Amino acid sequence: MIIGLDDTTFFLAFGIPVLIVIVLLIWGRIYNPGED
Amino acid sequence: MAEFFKILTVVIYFVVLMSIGTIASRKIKTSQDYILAGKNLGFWVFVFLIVASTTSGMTLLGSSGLGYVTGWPTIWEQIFVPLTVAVCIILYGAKMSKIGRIRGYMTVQDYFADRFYSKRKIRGIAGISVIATSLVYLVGQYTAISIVLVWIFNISHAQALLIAGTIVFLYVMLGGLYAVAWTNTIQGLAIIIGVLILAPIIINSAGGMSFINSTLASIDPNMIKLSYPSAYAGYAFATPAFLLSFFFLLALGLGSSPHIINNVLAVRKQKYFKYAPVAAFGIYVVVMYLIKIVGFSARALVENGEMAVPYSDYAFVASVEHILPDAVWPIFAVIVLAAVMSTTDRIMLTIGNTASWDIYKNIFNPNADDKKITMYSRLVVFAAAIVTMILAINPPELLAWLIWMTIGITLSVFVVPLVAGLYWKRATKEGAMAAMLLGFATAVVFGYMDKYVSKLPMHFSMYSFIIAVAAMVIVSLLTKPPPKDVIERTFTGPFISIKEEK
Repeated sequence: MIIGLDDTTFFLAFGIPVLIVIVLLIWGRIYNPGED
Repeated sequence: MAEFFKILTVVIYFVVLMSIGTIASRKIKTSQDYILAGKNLGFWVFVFLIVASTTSGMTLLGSSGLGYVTGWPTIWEQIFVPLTVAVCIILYGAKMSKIGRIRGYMTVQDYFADRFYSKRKIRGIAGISVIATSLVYLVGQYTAISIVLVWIFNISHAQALLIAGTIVFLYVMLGGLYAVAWTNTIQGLAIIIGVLILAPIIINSAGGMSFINSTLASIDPNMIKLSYPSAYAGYAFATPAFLLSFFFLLALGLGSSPHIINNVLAVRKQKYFKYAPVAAFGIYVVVMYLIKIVGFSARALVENGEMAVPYSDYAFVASVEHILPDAVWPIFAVIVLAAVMSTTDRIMLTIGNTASWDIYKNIFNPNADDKKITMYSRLVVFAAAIVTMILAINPPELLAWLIWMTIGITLSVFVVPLVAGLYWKRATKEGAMAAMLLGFATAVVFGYMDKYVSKLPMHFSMYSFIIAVAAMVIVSLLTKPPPKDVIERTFTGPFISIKEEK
């Protein structure tokens, strides 16, 4: 149990947003906006 | 003394908004300045604009209220809503903005008209849908504003509407998107700072996270899970099937709302789209999680007899009142006001711009000059403010249902033509029209069935969304492919970054 939630619930609830942040950082690295 | 402090706080807040409107009005020289802030928004102004346009009163009051009632199974809302901003920028915005720069778009309807080679029909259908859904949304926002002002000042509902309506109308009318973007930056900052200060104090006063979660578990053990196994009670609607439809509704549908997606056409540089998604999501998700956990904390405080909450959407407000002395809490009441006002102003401008640019200029009077377009937009903003304020004096009993209906209609009407238009070369004008019209009609039918006939297992918009997808695919394949020059000039194809492909 972490903060009163079972381990799976805790890691999913807080891990998914972290995972999305990582994916969005990768997007930032690979997206080529071209010339403005 | 406390009364004086309350009034002073809100008066200062309104003076700041009006001053920004006045300063912004000096930058308005052309209709592009008014509609798109001269396509000159910087990185952080854009990030705050798109986040604050998405953050409505429902976000702050409704999602903590939902947390209060349902517990952790609706935490997904806190992921899907911030995600919609990233989806809006990446899936719809990055590519459309680039095409818009080349083709000179002012609104999303410009893109629809260009991509679906239909100067009037598609533009007209999309434009009317935008105005209709935005007006309903606006009634909801005005109702929320007046609830907050009545709470702060103890004035009548009508007086509250008149004060708030006049202020928002004036700064939107004066400064167009410049005023909306700048005020949203300040309002967004107020929301973030306010929530970051308040939430930890509220969580602490409720006994800390472990205690809050054990209180929730004592009400129903499923309240500390990530979904309910079945809809066995009114509060247990967040089943896996419902959450799947919630993902489509919030993560895809909300981001295609006209008052959110039009913001991508106003950025100064295309390169902002590299890190704007992570900046917007990162800030927004933290604030959203804290808001939801405030709802959990309120439930724990109530269950342990430390405070009372008259109705669930009052959970955030009651918690703020519970932890702060009388003289201080009006400062934080302003953040609730900021959340509601920041959506209201953007929706008002969207209605004005759609009516003046898409309907008046592009359908009825192609020769209208810049001055006339801006003047018409201002007139429509005024008319929309009056009409929705009158409706908000006696809000329909089904207001919350109507607002969910408008988000559902947005998912059914706009997402399919947008995605198919941008990424599928075979998508035709007839397919887009079928998807829009059938999406709209079936959303209304399924929404009615869900409310009055029998509760559907998924959110009603999921069914109309699937029908819209089917209509787009079947009708497009049965009709003549789009002209080649249309596909080339609108950079249609399965790619986002235009430079590498062209």
